[in-house]
Amino acid sequence: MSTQIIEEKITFKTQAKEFWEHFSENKGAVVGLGLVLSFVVLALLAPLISPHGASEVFPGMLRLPPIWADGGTTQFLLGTDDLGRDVLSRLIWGAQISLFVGVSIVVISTVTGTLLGLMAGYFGGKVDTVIMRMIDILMAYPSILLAIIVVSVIGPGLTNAIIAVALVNIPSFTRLVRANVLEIKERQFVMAAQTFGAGPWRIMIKEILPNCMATLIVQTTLGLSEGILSTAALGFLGLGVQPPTPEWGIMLSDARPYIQSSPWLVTFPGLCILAVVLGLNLFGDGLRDALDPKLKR
Amino acid sequence: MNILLRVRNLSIKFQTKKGIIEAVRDVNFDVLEGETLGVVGESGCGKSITNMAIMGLLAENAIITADELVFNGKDLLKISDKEWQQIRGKEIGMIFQDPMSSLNPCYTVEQQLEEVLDIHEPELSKEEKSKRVLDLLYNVGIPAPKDRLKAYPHELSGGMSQRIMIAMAIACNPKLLIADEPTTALDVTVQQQIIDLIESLKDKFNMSVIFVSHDLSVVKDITDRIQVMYAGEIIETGLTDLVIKSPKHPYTKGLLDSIPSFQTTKNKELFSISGIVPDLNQRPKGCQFYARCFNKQDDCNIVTPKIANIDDRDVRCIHTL
Repeated sequence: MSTQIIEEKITFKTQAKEFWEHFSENKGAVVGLGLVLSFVVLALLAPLISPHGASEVFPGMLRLPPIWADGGTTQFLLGTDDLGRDVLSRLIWGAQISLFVGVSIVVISTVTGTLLGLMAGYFGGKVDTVIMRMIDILMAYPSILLAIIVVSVIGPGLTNAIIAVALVNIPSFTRLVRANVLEIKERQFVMAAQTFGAGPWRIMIKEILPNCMATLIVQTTLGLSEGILSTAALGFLGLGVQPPTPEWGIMLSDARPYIQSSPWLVTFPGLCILAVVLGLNLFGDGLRDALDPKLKR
Repeated sequence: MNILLRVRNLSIKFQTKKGIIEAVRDVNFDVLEGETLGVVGESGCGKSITNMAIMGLLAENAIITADELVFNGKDLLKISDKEWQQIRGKEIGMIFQDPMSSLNPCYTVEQQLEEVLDIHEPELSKEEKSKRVLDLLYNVGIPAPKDRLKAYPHELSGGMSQRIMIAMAIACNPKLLIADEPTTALDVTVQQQIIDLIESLKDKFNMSVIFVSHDLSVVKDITDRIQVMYAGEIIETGLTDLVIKSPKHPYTKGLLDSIPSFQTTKNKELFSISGIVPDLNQRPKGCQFYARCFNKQDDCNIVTPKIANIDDRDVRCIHTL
């Protein structure tokens, strides 16, 4: 019994090692992973490492520049905003919001989008027509406009912004998965699985879906970054998360009037969004290369 | 011996944009318990479609009619999707032409075999499953089976993949194994190994086998009976030795003459049956083989020949050889 456990541990270890060997060959992916991980650490440790509270106001210390500029203080490393709040602390707490929002969006839209795509592709016929026409309708709207419509119907706020952006992200997953399924379901091993007595759902989930994973993983990381971007955009338009929540999009929009006089107010949230999105995209590409058994060796 | 599969007057039609195409018609045969039936014919003659009909896996535009289609006491024309899933893999196993593409590239050998057991015997414990998987690999002659458990399909050779496919097909001890050109994609030395393997498993697990091939030289060694198909009809069927030694249908003779041999000198042209299979959309009147037959006579294209018993085998020809 105990030897068996040890054996399993060993195989898991070698699998993980093999994955890392493939993954680390791609330097960009490692950089991406580093970026994403550092934001995850920031988000998790926010209560410990943020120098001030996210909404803590320091009267009389409005729009102080960062520490390296004239007039900067060690108390506020990245300066303060127009209400006298510490920019660094708000960015750190904002990482929590952005990552939470991104992950929720991706989970919702990946699961629904993938299920719809699997059904449309595998069953075909009427099921396909109904699902894909619904998706076409969703795609007929510019995505941010659709998100605005949804938010204006169900009202602004964190949860509603997540629902709106998730809905907007569904079509890309559905179309991607459907296209993959259409190709994969004609392959011999799907027929073979049928001759072994597998039912339609087992074939969809266990035979076809794993073969879509390579593309789906990339789309998921892209969707994560898109979700973060769209939520920031909604926040920027005042339709997403509401102030005083320290969300990067809101920080950008609040800083807009001071873009000339206090440029650091728009720079840092913008850089954060850029870094997270870039990191996720690099990481996604690397993941695909490392996970796809067909690309190995 | 008991009859395992009984097919009477099977007809398979396809609803297409051009109209209804009758791909297989008036097919009658039995598979006895423990026997190997060879099915021979060129591409597009209905061999694979007949097998798919037995598996219940034809496309949705297929119309299957038959007087009888009975497997092991079950009427295959009347059973539900759920019952089909119970039969597939558990009572009828199937292996395919191209073993490399028949395995799911995402799973290891172990996972694929366990999956089949999961479908039909979900009550097995983890230990029992791994034991069964190892037994299966041992039975299909995989060298060092323990090392192969974690291998992905792309790490296996063609012969090895076909052995894994066979292991999956026999995992739940089916009564019938349908081998659809199992050796066509393999090289000659491996071909013989796979044929020997199928033969030994047949005896060991007391299965019946339907062995499909377009190559008579492959079929003749392992089958008890042989069934030659042409344009969706059975044109000659009987004991293998008898059919090979003295073919009665001109098409069977043509197929036998087409087998290349070592003895013929290299200047001699290889024999081939001239012409092509008739368009199933516009079937000719009378004998389907008329246009290509070397023995044709004036009355051949008037009436469709019925299958009749001549010299201990059934032949669909008016002017037998």
